[in-house]
Amino acid sequence: MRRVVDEAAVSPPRAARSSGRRPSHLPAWLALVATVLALHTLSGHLAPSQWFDGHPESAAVALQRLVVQYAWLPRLVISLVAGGALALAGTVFQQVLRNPLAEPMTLGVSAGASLAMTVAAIWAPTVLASQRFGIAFAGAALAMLVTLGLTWRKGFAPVPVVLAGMIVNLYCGAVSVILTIAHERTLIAVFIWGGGSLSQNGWDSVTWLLPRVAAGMLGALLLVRPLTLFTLPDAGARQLGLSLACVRPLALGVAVALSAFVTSAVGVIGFVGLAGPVLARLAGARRLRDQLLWAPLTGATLLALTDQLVQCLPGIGGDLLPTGAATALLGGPLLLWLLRRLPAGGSGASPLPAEPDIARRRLAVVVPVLLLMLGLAVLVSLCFSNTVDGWRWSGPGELSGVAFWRVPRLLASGAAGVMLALAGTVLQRTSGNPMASPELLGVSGGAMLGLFCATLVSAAPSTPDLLGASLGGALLGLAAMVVLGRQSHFTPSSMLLAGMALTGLSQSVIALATAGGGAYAFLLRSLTLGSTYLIGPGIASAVMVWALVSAVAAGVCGRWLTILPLGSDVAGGLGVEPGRARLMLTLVAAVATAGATIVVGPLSFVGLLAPHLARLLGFPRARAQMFVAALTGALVMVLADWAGRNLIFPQQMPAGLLAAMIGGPYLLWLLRR
Amino acid sequence: MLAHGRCKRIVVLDWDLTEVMLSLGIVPVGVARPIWYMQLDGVPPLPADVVDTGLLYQPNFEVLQRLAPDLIVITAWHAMLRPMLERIAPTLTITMFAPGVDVYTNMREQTRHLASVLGRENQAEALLTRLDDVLAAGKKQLRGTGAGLRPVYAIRPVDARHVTVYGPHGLFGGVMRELGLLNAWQGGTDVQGVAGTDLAALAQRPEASAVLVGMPSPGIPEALAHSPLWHALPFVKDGRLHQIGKASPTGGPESAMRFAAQLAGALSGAAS
Repeated sequence: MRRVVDEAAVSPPRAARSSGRRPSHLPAWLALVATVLALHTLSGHLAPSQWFDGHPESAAVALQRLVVQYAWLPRLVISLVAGGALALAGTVFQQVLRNPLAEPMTLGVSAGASLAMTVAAIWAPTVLASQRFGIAFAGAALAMLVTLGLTWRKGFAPVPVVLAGMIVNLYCGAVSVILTIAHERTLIAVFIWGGGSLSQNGWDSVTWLLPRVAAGMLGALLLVRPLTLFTLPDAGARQLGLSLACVRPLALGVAVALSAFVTSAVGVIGFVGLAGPVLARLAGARRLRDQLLWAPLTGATLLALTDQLVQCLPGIGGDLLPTGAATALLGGPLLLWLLRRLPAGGSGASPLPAEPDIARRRLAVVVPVLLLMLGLAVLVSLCFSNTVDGWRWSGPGELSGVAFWRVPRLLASGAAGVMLALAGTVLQRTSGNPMASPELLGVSGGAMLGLFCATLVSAAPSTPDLLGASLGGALLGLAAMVVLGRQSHFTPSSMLLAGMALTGLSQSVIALATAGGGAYAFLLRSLTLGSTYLIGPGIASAVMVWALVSAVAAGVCGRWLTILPLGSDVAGGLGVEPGRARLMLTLVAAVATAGATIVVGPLSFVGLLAPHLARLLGFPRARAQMFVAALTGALVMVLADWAGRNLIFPQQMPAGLLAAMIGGPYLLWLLRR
Repeated sequence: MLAHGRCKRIVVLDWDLTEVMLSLGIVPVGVARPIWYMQLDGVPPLPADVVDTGLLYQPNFEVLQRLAPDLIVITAWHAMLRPMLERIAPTLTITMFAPGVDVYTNMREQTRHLASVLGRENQAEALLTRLDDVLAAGKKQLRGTGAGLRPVYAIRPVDARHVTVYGPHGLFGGVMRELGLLNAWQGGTDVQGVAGTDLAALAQRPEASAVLVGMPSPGIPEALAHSPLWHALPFVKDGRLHQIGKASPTGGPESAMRFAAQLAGALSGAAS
């Protein structure tokens, strides 16, 4: 805990007292519990009587002393450094991009590093072992360069940066998973790294990371003054003489470097970058200056506490629990608990700007084109396929033999695409947050937990068991969100954060359960990746009906999407009660997401992509956007399902992943214009 | 069940079962990702003309249908696929791993079970007798060398910070037991008797020796050489670390034999 004390002593604590709540309480409590746990784990290596006793000792005690010196202590230090650095990076990201969902994970930094590690593990394992830091850092930097390069022309405005980062993140993630599918056996080391294990075998990582993080912190300190101006909208900031084009990339660069350093040194540690700043704000750190102090302290103590907790717990099946994956187990509930304090109408993301430069198009022109493309995609998907004898076009006779394997999953994919696109459009419009996607509803997270429970209850779950568990989990996740959302009158920003906490929680559980890499991990991983693979005719028809119902419901509620952004007074004057309307809209989105999750699993990238595609294609108005998004969603999913079946034949890839591969680049290209 | 010897075309959706089947003298027509079978151990060798049926838990149904097998052999983890697979051919589930079941003992039973379904009882008995002979020879080789006095870690480094440990309930653990050796790993393991852990956990039994199973991936020995913790581990410091060739930690009698012979050779050579 020495570092924490030092930091607190160096930085001025006066800011904290100006606010009604003390932001220092949370890190103090976290540090206290972490210290108790740390002493407990220390006594697991050395009995307390031996801590300060330098007398000649038995070989066993001498060995444990070395373990403390080379494993326990560097691990404690690195958890504090990494947690603090990630939370600091998150604070800067959230400030510069004005989005409470911005963090190293969502901006593609971790995914880029992960992809680089995966590629190296497959094609250059020797280099990976010796140059781990360099490879991960190159990947992270490259991912962020792509994000920034794509948004350079827009002056790094928040919405395009966030969106491009999210797409780069999804894209790198999708490529990694596809490589994983083809090479799983050789990648156990990458999985451990991806889980964010903080185990140390010496001081190498600490001595590498510490000076770099210190440099990053210095950079952030120098930027405090210009960063404070980002609280204002762009135009206001410019009037005060802030050169946005200069400060924004500089600040982003510092945050990226910080997160890339941590990712390179210890692996993917999710959630701290998001939770650190948000927790500090919720605990009362209002001004940026305060946040820059308390967010890193909160992050550092949160990660240290998680790491000590992980060391106290027995692993699943004797395996180590990766700390990075476990952070959300602790941080998630903490965030949910503190969210109750978020003032109604609290800090949300900047609303989607009107984009006058996008040419509006007419539905009568675009819809027939989309329908034609959809028809073509269906025809190709049914008839043109890779087989044992190579590519072939199946005639009607041949088709009857394989129809059972092709038709149900095709229909279910299309229906899932429609539902995800509708859910995504509704969410993005109600929340005004371009990063809102169906997996942030907590519904997908719930479905994943349901699947996990099914595999726990039965060693060999059947398809109906799995679907039932997935649906049950989705509904429970929805119920939890409604209960949580009621306190904040369904304010979009707190709903999204709560959803993110639930999703993080469930991802933690899955990552922990699959950390070992045994046969069970392989199975669970393939289940949670989702696949249109096990869909039979019965489920396909049910999903089609579900999609139809969702579409009708979304159409009926479409009017509110136009009214709600006008403000509560206008909405009230038009006879719409905002709280109830938001609840109804969230319910529609959740029901649609639950239906889609059954088919494609928790990977609902289409829900993020399709609404943006529709908007950028020239349909900014609510109902038109929904309609076009639904069509493009179906088109992307049908193509993704076909590609998943055929591209690396005879292996199959999850359609949800391929949707990101297909839709991502197009969306990036549209963004560039 | 199925009439003896009638099954000509068999598809196996598991690598451990592929090994058992090949050592019973049956060549399957289709196997999930044959390349991974080779990487896992690859003994007995799988002929190159065996068709790739796709991923382990997501076989390509259209490929399976084209192969028109008489029998599909799966594990309990494939249960969700069973209704779909049964549309294509009769499906047999062989459970090699289950909670609370000793992997080595169960492996012997399941080998006999699979052989009886396929009408290969004689081959199975010959195979298991061969395994018993190898174990007896190994035990004899170790007797008097003092190797049985120290517990042994069977490990494989994953990277410079983490290792895979083969615990007492796994296949390797069973072989060590049969050879009269004590497994040094006392922590928990998964149903396959395998656990992942870090270097610090290997310091719990300072008197133990250790066997590295299979050559570590390139670069890892160099990275370990830089680690002060690795050098502090007693079996490294005092030179009780042995390297043996690879064998599948979840395989059948063939893997058990290869592990037993190499382990006995390494430990007896070192201790004498």
